[in-house]
Amino acid sequence: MDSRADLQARERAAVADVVASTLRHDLRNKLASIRNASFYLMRKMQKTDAWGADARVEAFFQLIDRELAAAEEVLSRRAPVVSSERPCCRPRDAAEHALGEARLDDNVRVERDFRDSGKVPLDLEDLALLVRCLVDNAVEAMPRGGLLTVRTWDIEEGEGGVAIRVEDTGEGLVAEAYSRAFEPFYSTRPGHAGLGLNIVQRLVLRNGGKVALDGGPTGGTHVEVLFLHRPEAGARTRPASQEETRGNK
Amino acid sequence: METSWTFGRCLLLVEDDPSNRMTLAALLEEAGFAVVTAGSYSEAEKWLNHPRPIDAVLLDQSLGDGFGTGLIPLVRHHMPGAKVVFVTGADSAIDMPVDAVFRKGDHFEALLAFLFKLLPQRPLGMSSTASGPRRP
Repeated sequence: MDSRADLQARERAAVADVVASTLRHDLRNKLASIRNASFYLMRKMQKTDAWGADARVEAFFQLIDRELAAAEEVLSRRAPVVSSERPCCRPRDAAEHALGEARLDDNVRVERDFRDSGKVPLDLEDLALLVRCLVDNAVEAMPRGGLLTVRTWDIEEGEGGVAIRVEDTGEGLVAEAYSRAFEPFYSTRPGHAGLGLNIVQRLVLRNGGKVALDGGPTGGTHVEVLFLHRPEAGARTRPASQEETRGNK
Repeated sequence: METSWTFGRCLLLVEDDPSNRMTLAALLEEAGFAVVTAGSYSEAEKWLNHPRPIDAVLLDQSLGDGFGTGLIPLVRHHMPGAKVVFVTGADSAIDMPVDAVFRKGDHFEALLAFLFKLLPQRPLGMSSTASGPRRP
């Protein structure tokens, strides 16, 4: 598969991932409501004569609970990880790849400011897809042209890391968009699916990074992605006091 | 509930899904909590900007008009003593400064056990909250 076809395939896979994840989220919400309602009714029924008089009442509540737990289990299944090798690439290579694939109008000037030497824990095609989503957004934000700047640099503070920033000189976002921009299917532009920034967020968070959206000092929109080095490969940092429950029923 | 530890405990439930909000609030009230609810980011923001004694905030992430994570600084600022429980239906919980993460679909008793752990038992008669009006 050539490079362009590979990037397109990954784009399709990323869109499918967003759609599937959104459906899982919505379905999980509905299952949770049914489970809570059933549990509430069971608690009420336990106080009535019907509970002791008909064994099927309890059995059926248990059946509802069991089936809902099974449905949740199906939703939570993940495809097996194919490779245990940890991918990595340099942001400047991914940015260059993305800019080569992007549809750049003649009235958009492109400035490259690549100062990174570190690597990020994504393979080149995935990181190129991430940058491509940001570049496409930036270009679409400047229908009358403007300056697109892609910056990469090493982060020296703390454990260190690498940063990527894509800047445009477009009209910027309305206030509401700053809080909703990463939602799947949210777009302020007619005819747009509104998946680009959600794909970016997924790729970033899945690999322990951070992403922030901001207005530039003289207008436009800046999106900054940080991949910080972590002491333990693959470890997820979490405050010590934070706990996580998993259902045991 | 046989135990009385929930006496006077007040929870703010921020959830935009009406069915989830209704059923979870009912179960929490059945467990003895006073529950106030907010169905959107902006509605929660109003609650948090006019703080009242809240022991814990149960936060959904996708709120239609914003993300639950955006409310965490407001909770920490206006209600420094309140615990924050993130209630999520997403595939993976994002690392964030909350006290607990509860996955939608897990059993309610797991959430209850969590609240037991987060909110220390308060002797009867020392309620710091009054049960407020329930908002739709």
